[in-house]
Amino acid sequence: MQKYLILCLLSVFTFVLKAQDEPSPVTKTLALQNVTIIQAPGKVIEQGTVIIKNGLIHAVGKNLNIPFDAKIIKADSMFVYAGFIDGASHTGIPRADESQNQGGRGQLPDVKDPGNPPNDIAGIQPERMVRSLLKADDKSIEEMRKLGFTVAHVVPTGKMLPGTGAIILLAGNTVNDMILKEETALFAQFSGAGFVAPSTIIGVMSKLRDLYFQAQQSKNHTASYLKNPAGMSRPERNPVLEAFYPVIDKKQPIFMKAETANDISRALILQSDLGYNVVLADVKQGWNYSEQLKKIPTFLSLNLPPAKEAKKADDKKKEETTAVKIPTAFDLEAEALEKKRAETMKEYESQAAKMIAAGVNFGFSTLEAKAKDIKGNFTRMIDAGLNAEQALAALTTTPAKMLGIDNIVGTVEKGKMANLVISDAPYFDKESNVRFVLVYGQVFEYEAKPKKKPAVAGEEVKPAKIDGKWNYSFNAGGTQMSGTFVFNQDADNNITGTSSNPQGSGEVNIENPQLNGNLLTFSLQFQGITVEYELTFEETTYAGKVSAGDFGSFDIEGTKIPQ
Amino acid sequence: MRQLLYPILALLLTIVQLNAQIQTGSLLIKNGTVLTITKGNLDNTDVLIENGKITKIGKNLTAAKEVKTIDATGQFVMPGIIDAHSHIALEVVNEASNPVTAEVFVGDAIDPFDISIYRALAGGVTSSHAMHGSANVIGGECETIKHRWGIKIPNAYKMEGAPRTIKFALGENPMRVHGEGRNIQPNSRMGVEQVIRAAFTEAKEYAEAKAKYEVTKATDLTALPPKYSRRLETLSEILKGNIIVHCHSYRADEIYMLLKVLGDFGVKRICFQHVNEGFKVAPELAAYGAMASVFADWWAYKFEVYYSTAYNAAVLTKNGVITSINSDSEELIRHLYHEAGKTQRYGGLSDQEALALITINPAKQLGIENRVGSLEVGKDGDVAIFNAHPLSVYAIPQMTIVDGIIRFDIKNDGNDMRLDIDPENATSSFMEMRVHEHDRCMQDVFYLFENN
Repeated sequence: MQKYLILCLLSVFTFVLKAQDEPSPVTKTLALQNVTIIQAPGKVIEQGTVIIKNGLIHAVGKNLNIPFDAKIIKADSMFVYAGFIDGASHTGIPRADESQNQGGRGQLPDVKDPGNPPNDIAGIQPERMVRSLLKADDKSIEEMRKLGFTVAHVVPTGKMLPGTGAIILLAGNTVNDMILKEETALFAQFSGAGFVAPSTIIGVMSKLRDLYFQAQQSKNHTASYLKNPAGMSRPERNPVLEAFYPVIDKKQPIFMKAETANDISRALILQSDLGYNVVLADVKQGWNYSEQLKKIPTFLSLNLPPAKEAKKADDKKKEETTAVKIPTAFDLEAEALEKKRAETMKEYESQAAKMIAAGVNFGFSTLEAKAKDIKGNFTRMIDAGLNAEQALAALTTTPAKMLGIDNIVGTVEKGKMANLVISDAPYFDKESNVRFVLVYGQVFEYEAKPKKKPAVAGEEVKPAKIDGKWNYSFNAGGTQMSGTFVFNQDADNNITGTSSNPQGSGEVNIENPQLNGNLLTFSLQFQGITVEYELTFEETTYAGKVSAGDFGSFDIEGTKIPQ
Repeated sequence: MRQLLYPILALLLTIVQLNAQIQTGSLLIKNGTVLTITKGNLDNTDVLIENGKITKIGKNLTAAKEVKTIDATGQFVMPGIIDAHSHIALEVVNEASNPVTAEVFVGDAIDPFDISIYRALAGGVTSSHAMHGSANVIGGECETIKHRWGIKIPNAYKMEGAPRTIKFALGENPMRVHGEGRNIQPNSRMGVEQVIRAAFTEAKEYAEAKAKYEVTKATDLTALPPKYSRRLETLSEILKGNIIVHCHSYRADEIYMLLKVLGDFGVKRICFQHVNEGFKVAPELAAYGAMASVFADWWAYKFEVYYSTAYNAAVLTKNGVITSINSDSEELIRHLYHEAGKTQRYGGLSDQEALALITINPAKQLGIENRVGSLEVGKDGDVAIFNAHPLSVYAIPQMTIVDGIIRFDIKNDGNDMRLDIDPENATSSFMEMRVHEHDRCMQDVFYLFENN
């Protein structure tokens, strides 16, 4: 009952928002002239024209007459592609507040029976819908749109069963404007709930089987009750089990996040045991499973392990030139290990190319990808053997088919939605800039990135303001670390501060802090190890690296805690 | 000619298809000292493995031209060693969220990339019992694996056809996790007993309700089955005798308690694990038909493990208890042949008895003795080859073979045999190293105590 009330309230709310919309544009007819149109992978029109009316593509071709009411988009000699489609993503769903009790390690939730916790703490919420979680003004929508994404299959965030997916347009004033299709898939991931059941991968696997069989049972019970209620006990209404009904009927697939090789194996085992339709999302390590993935819709992750900076190689060269060094046994071993590491990195980068060679059809997904890395990751995949045409197919035609929306999006053709990406050079060229993105005819214009100017000596960079309390979290080889930094910044921009860590040694002072522009570097002592930090600050967020000597380095990020 | 070729081709095709599931090979091991375990020692004898199975043991054997021959002159050929208690090749060991988690299965978390599998092969170990941990009174189902190192698919490690097994745990571990850690039952050894009795009773009622539904559903359209429960399904399979119980235990009183409980519920197949005070109840164990899998000489790592002796394995063996020596550690698993040798110093077991502790006896405890654990015609081609008698302190494993495929070769393997390398760091991180300071039985639950 409460849920329906909230839904009702929500629709009232969106109505109010709608009434306050910006005024409609003067004309809903748009035209692109003298552009290279990549209608679909491999299908190119040189010096062509695209005419758009009321959010749809009205005409595509050469030498077309421009309607009198058309507004000309200044894209002369640029490259036009169908808007990209993200196969599985959390775009538009604000990230959960990390300080909230998520029941992870080191945080024990107040649960009476850890073996049978409430569903929200266990992460069993398959009945949740994207509609109730999506925020039309979430900054992730703009970040992804800027890259050329115009449609995303969004799934809720959470643990094992976060909810059902929806396909959305990456523009719109309200949630209702954005949603194209709902209840597209049941989203599942191998994420345990930490302290409570299901706490680990094996708990999750067993719980999924339990729920599936219980759902079958309850579905049968409901059906026989409807036929013949007399004398039969009434079926229990259970939204968790009911969310599985369309999966049992094969009307919805289970979208399974399967990053590692072992996760893929688990997803395949469950699918073959239970027999539902499965789609794999955010695959990072799929190269041993190409035979199986040929038969299953697959989305490869756009998140690659971060590339090593080439800086170190330069340092080495310098060393070599200054003194001839005889390599020790240790050097040789280190060299062999490093070589193997580099080979493994290549495996991740060439996953997409290998899948093409093996005949696997795939799209891309961004559950774990950061918007700022995606363009660079395309370049790395292309350097590792993927070609631009194949990359484009994985971003447009293939996901459109897999998501069942190829009749409305995925190509630059008459009748399709005017979802377009326009770049000033071929999109997958390193130096290309996205200049326009159109979503259902709505135009977003972007500046070309200025070429990096070499730093002028003597020019002072204004230091960022970092005074205050910031949270941090990073994953150190499988263990989640989190805590807070406190920085004090005086008038001369001298920094002092502390780091506190609820998992370990309490509060420690930071050492050798240096603030240069928006880059803060410092070190601290943790369990006898000197740990180095390099953080780049935005206004209320930062991201960077933690290095713990021989133990490796990890990505760190955090946000400012409001006073 | 052509008529003959077709059936052969068809036959070849079916073999290829089977091989796609389980990779097998053929080998001829020439002129070694063969320690069969069940049928004595044979000098200057050959062992022929064809398509993964031992087909001949004898002198001057020949094989088809394409079969690789290994010269074992001066070397010792024994069945692949079996470890009845280990946690290698697992991504998760404990689902510590409830005192009873019979519904979980570590077979869902097999990790074919765990380098410990290769290290075990380097100690002659070809099979191990990948167990759930001891955080819960009734933990999850375990998986008997074959060390087919090199295959990157988890399912390929499961020993096809091996019986189901499940982990139970008595004493301090479940009391600490659930009683001390969360203030729920069990808080004492009495509580542990009641958790088992309650679980079995519930499972019995569940099985009865299910059986009743099966009978009435044809005539009564309003009949309903009990709500499906994976936990109760598994527990009722234990009551039916279809799952072997492997129980973590130390003290004689709690071992005797479990014998009583299992007797009350008619559960016959039981192997006690660790069982450091087993020597005190050896006749009782033998009378019940219970088995025991022990350490050679590891104790005093917590209060309940102080009353221990290195004579344990020998006392149990002499009382007629099927006994094995296990590792419970990715380090000990590399030299179980040394561990077995300790029973000759402490207890004076014969070569035959000592080697049985790490071959045919653990095979019996896992219900796979018709497949592995001795060198006999018809058994799996799982073999370890040593440069000296395996009970000698100078013995070094030379080659380890699983299903007729060489999976470890001291002379020809590379220095770095890892299969899955972190693309960001050349070696493993420090967090990984910290985990290894503890015994693996309590893996995944340390965080419970870090905050206390």
